[in-house]
Amino acid sequence: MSQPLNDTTVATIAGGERASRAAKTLARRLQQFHAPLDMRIVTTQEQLGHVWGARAAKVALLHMLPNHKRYVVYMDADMWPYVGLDPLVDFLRRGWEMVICPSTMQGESAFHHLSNPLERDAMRRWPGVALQAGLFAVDTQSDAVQSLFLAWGAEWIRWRKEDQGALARVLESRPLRMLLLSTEYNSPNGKLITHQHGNARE
Amino acid sequence: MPFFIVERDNFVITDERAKRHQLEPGDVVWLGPSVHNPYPNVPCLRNRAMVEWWVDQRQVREASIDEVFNKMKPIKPPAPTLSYMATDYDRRGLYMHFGDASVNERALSFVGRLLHHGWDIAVPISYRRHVMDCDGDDTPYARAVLFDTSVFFCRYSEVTHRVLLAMHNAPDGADLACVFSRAAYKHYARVFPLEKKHVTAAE
Repeated sequence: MSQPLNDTTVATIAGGERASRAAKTLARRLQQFHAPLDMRIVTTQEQLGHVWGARAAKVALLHMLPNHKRYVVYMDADMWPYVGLDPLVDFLRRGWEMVICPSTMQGESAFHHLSNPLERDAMRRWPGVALQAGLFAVDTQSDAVQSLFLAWGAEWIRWRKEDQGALARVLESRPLRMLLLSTEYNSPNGKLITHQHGNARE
Repeated sequence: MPFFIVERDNFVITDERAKRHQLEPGDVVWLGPSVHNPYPNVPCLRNRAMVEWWVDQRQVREASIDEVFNKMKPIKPPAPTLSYMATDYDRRGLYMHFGDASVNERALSFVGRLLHHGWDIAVPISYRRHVMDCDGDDTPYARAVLFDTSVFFCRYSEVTHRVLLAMHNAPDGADLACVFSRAAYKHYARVFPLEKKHVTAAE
């Protein structure tokens, strides 16, 4: 049975044809759980490079969503939910400012995916937990969230590659009420939301 | 807050152990059983009506969290029956370090910055257990991560004080990771999650 999410905008980013198909499938899937649903699909331009463009759009997400609702849930297009998004949004309604999951990759391998060797070296033995930014929910009325996004975008510009290293670094100086959920909500084996990494790339 | 500040000169009270204390303005009194009192040498009173009468008479007033921390730090180590111990209080004047794990200098520097920026707590997360693995959990936080309290760091704040009190008041044998995590969620603590391997590994 579908439940409305009247106070929430759900966004995904589609870089390229394959991602567009995945994003539309994701939107249809979410509408099985939530109706009405303010669902936005942000698209990128091929000239910029779709992967690069998708990451640039993610770190500037709040600016990419005109007239968004108070709560914003971001999902990578290659995610497949088996449940609705109410639990994530409920935590925001309770007073949490951000909901996100840890990555399944931690320890020495946490930031191996970083393609710039300088950034990879900077994140070697990072004392913080690596967060999986393929899914997060934020309260956009929170000053801390606004500050985090401004900093995230600025930090991402340094290397202009992956987004998770930049998020980890800016969190150090941007404290907020951040709730970490089980990887069941965001991992290749996630029982609640499966993240099929790379399934939406060309 | 169960702490009160004395406002009267030569204020003499008798605590629950029948010990007489002569107090001066600014001294702290704890309202509650002594076993739950996290501070040594603070008189413990269980007679709430008496304290309320003193408040009415303006002989004592309720303490703010800052006053308690400023006057009373360091906090008393938790009871030895609990499975953790305080190893380093108020290091660099900023934070408290609990736990029985050694921490490398790089992590200490990192944590110092985190707490300076305003994170309440920095603590590793458990990758194997979640709140739902705690006995009798019926909170909305069942699928939230469980913190690994073998080492953690706190900034002085009302939130961290409440979390520490919850741990201090936990019954013998309690699962402290569960107590800590539930208290942190209950009080909306700003918790920075640490990667334990990189915090405790020698460099």
